[in-house]
Amino acid sequence: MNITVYLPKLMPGIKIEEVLTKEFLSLKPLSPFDKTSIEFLSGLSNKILSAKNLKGFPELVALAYWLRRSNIVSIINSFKDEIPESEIIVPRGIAFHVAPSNVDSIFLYSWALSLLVGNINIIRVTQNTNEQLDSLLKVMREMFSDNKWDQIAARNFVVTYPHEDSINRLVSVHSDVRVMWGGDKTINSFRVLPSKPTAKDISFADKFSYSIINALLFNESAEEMKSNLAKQFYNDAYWFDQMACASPRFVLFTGEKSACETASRQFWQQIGNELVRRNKADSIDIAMEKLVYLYESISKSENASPSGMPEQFKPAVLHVNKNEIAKFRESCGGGFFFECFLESTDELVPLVSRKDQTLAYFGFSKNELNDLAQKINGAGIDRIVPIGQALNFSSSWDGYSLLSELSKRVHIVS
Amino acid sequence: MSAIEQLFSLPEYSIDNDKKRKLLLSELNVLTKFHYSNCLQYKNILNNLNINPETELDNIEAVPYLPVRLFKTQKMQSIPDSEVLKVLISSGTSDQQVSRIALNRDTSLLQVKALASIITSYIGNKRLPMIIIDTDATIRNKSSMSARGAGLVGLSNFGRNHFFALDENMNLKVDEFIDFVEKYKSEPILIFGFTFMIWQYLYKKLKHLNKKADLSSAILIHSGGWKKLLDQAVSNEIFKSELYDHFRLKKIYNFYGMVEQVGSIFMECEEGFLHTPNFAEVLIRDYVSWQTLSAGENGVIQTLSILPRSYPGHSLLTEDMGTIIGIDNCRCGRKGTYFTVSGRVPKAELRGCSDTHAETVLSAGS
Repeated sequence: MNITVYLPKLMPGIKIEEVLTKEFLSLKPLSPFDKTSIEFLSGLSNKILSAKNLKGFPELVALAYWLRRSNIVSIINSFKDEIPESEIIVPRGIAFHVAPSNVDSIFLYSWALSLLVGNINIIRVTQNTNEQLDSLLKVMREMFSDNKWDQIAARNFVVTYPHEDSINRLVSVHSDVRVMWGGDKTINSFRVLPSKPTAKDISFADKFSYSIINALLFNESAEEMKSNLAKQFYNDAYWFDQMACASPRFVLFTGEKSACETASRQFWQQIGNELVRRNKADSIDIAMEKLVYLYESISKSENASPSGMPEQFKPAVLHVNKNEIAKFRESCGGGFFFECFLESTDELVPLVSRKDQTLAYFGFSKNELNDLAQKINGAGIDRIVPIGQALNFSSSWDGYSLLSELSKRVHIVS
Repeated sequence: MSAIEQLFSLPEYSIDNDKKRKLLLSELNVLTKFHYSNCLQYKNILNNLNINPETELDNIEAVPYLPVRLFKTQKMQSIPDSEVLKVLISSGTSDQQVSRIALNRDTSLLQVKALASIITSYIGNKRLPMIIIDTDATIRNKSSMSARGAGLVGLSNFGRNHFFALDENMNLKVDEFIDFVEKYKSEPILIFGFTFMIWQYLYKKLKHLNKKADLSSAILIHSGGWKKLLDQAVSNEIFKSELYDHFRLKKIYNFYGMVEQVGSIFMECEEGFLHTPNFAEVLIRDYVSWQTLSAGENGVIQTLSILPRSYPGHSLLTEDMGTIIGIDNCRCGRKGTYFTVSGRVPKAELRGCSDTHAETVLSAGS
């Protein structure tokens, strides 16, 4: 069973058995938070930030910032603070990561955390090559060619192969933890594969995300604040073509109807301005997707009002009634939004579903948000963040505290 | 005489476009109202777009259209299930979703009539000995028919002594083919098949075997899209010239049509342009504003047809790109709008966190 190895160095057509048995099974994991691991991630951060050909990918720049030494150290420290004195953190062993096919950088976050706790990692990336992933892998290969990182290189393999259960099965039975991006379908296809009885699965299912805007506060904001919010929202929605799990598909305005109407009008106008400012024109394929999606959506509703035909430099917005929100839980991406007016956040509570991940907000206090999360009481929503931070990866993701999930604890009674 | 009766009674390709558009428009307005009252999804769409079906439109550009993909994702039907005569199913594309088009008796009859009017204007009223470059397995199931099957059945009405030239494994029955051509050498033969299949299973096979057949008096009608041939760098020009070189086949007519509007097909003329028949019109739309474009400008093809009575398919935005070349003035002499098709709208590859598997689906389907 042949696979192509991208990292630590290019090895086309290598046998998966060799990677697993010769390379991995004889290795010892590194200690959690080993100095080399932290150095490596910080080196990767510098490397990405200085690579000219990666400047055009804001997602990678965001990743590089996240990988900065100061951020990594602060993630480690706050994690360590949670650990009781009677517990020692140790690696799980071999981690098998299944990366999603298009949100290229997301798997790097969970990989980095796994690497930090000392795990040996094998990462399966998409067969569809793309510029962003290629450039990133190239940068990392350059790093691995320096023998300073030999210990890391020996323990971290990025590979690709056609979707073949036989390979997935083989890696699965040798893994101590499986990290599955790629949504429901991928998760289900892996769940049926045998794994070690002691293995742990971390699965990132299909998710749905919202933005919520306090209409009154928005309306009262200065013009500059409004245009700034549009910039922030642009990052949340248009990076990854609105296809990341955390990208907002629904935008909710709360308040009196007239306030919501004003806020909606001004907000989408600002988004339109931002699209013009960034010269974000739709290619024909995306324009077609949005048109088709608009028609599909309005065919299902007796009372949905589109903001008009999808047009260049305008966000496509479909206003729906709150009793119909449940009908519109998918999106075509590319900047197509459902919009709904609520009297207060309380009306959101019964609408939340298990699939809901990120609620990005504007104009709510910490108390209001705590109150909301408590009322929702686990029915859904894993993160509540300010608009603009929807895609900011956090070591707490999809309800998992990832460092904790990727490591084990030894309980010591003395 | 009603608009639809006039369109059917006038000779094919004989109507000045202005007059034709008026006749089409009055019938399209009727259809918009009918489908609005009988198809909930269509009604929702028009309501949500603030389009009042009672408004008498004064130009054909204003007739509301549906993206053709809707027929793959929604049940779009304007008749009760009990009136469904047969269901047409599009050939699967890479996304593996298929269109399901429900036909009633009315629509089906109009399709047959329209197709007859178009084809006989090319081949004459006499049924011709016919070779079908396909296997008879394609048409065995009559109640649920693939687009390919529907095309075969439709076209086979214009032939006699039908010969299915391929076996179930798509192998050409070489000797029987040669014998058939020989047997009917004194009269024109009608050959029909899908573009790719004619190239791959007929032309390439006989070329490979170095067997000639004299098809100089035959008429070849073919359809089904150029994607697979363009992948092999075979254009319409190459297709025609190769078939001429090998078979002396001169009369080769491609047509553009879709399962969502069976019957009102767009036949290629001797000049190489596709022509709108009496029952149909094309418009070209710009993807930036979705407004119509003028002749000479490339955009997304919208097709209008007065045939669909059982589903709201009388005005469809296709996912094909094309250009209107001119109106009423083609050198072939046919009246009406004539155009070319330049290819498919590319498929968006918007895939998110949840798509590690999309790639397998795509490669399996294509």
